This record gives sequence, structure tokens and C-alpha cells, in this order.
Amino acid sequence: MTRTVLRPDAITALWTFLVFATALSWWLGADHGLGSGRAMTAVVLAIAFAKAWAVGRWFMDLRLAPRALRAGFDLWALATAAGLVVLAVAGG
Amino acid sequence: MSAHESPLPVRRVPGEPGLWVFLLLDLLVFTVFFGTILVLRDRAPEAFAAGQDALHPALAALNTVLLVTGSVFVVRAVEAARAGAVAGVRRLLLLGAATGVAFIGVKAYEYADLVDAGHSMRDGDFFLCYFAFTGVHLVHVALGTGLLLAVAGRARRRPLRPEIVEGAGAYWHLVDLLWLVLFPLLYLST
Repeated sequence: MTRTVLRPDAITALWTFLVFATALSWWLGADHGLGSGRAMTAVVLAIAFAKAWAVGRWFMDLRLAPRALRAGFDLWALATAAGLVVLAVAGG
Repeated sequence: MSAHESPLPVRRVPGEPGLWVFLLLDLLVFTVFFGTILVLRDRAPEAFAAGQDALHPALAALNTVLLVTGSVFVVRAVEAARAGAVAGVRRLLLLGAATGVAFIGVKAYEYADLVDAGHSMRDGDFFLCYFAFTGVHLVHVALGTGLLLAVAGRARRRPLRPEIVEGAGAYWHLVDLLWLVLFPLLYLST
């Protein structure tokens, strides 16, 4: 199996994605008439979990971890994002 | 292997394996916090919207950028430790810790502003969630900052095993990751 290190340009690309996604969430979170509050909450949550997953996979080095840990984190991100989106859209 | 990555041997748990038990439990505790916010919001949407109107998303966005920037310093410190660059490890960990101190300063200003406006944990479910969950997260930021400073201090005296820096880095990144989800739940869920 192969272990890898992130090159500086990849780190910069990830930082740019995280900052851009934060700005996008902030803009969407304000009311721009793009949809209902609950639907927009779901979109903003999906963006948040994409960011969280990227931090786990690349910054926390989970992409290098044994399969069980990597899969457990992926499952957590997917299941929690889905659960919260359902709560946001359908109500608790 | 992507164009952004270069090869090294072995696949393993980053840092000390025991640390990951703590990190994963912490992740689950915050998952309960995330669900609690949405369940309580559903019971009182108007009160939650009014509470969110009192917050300052610009300060929260600034804190997001601070934590993400700190993560860049920390991930570079981990790479420097793997390469045996002792001076670089220390400098990068101190820069990471500086972003933690800045986060705490911004949060303290935000808390003071809200308290001045008459808000507290007793001011309904929204502010209970806000102060309790951001407070627990702030303790994590303080611990992460202290951990980076402690490892930087050890790096001054002697070269560190990369696993030590990886462990401190993994904790810092978890703190970053948790904030990335708390931010929209508390500040942006309109």
C-alpha cells in the first residue's frame, strides 16, 4: 500500500476551497430569495459536511488510515449529513 | 495517486492509535449537539430566527478562516516533522497556535457583545444551544492551542517523533472540522 504526503499546492487548493465554501454558505444563509429557509438550510448543511469531510480526509490524513477507520469516518460524514438534512427539511 | 501527492511507505493510523478513540468519541458527542440544535429549532423556529439575528455571522466567518488557516500551518508542521525539519516544525506550530489565540479573542468579543445586549444561556433554547455548544467548542480550541504550544516547546529542546506532531495536528483538525458544522447550524440556518 502507498502512503502519501500533501504537496504545498494541494494544501493551498484545500484552503481556498474551504474559504470559498464558507463564503458561499454565508451568502446562501442570508436570504437571497433562492428558496425556502428549510431547503436552503439543507444546501448549507451539505456544503458544511463537504468541508468537514475534506478536512478529515486530507488534513487529518484519514486518506492514509486503515480501511476501517477511513470507512468509519466516511460513514459518519454521510450519515450525519443525511440525518441533519432530514431534520432540517422534515422537522424534528 | 493524484498529481498533488507524492509517495511514502506504509498505511497506518495518523498519530497515536489510542488518541483516535478519544477523537471519535468527541465526534459523536458533537453529533448529538448538532441534532439537538435542529430538533430544538423545529420546536421554536421564530425564537431561533430571532436569536440568530442577534449573532454576528461576519465574526463567525472570520473565526472559520482563522481555524482553517491554522490547519494549514499545522498540516505543514506535520509534513516538516516527517521530513525532520525541527525549526520549521516549531515555527509552524507557533503560527497555528496564534490562530487559536486569535479565535479565542474574537469569540470573547462576540460573547461580551451578546451579554451586553442582555443575552445569556437562560434566554431561551437558542441561546442555551449557542452558549453551551460554542462554549464546549471554545474549550476544545483552548486545549488544541495549548497542545500546539506544548509540542512546539518540546520541539525547541529536541527533534520530535512525527507521531507526536501528527497527534496534536489530528486534535487541532478535529476542532476545525467541528466548527465547520457548528457555524452554519448556529449562524446560517435561516
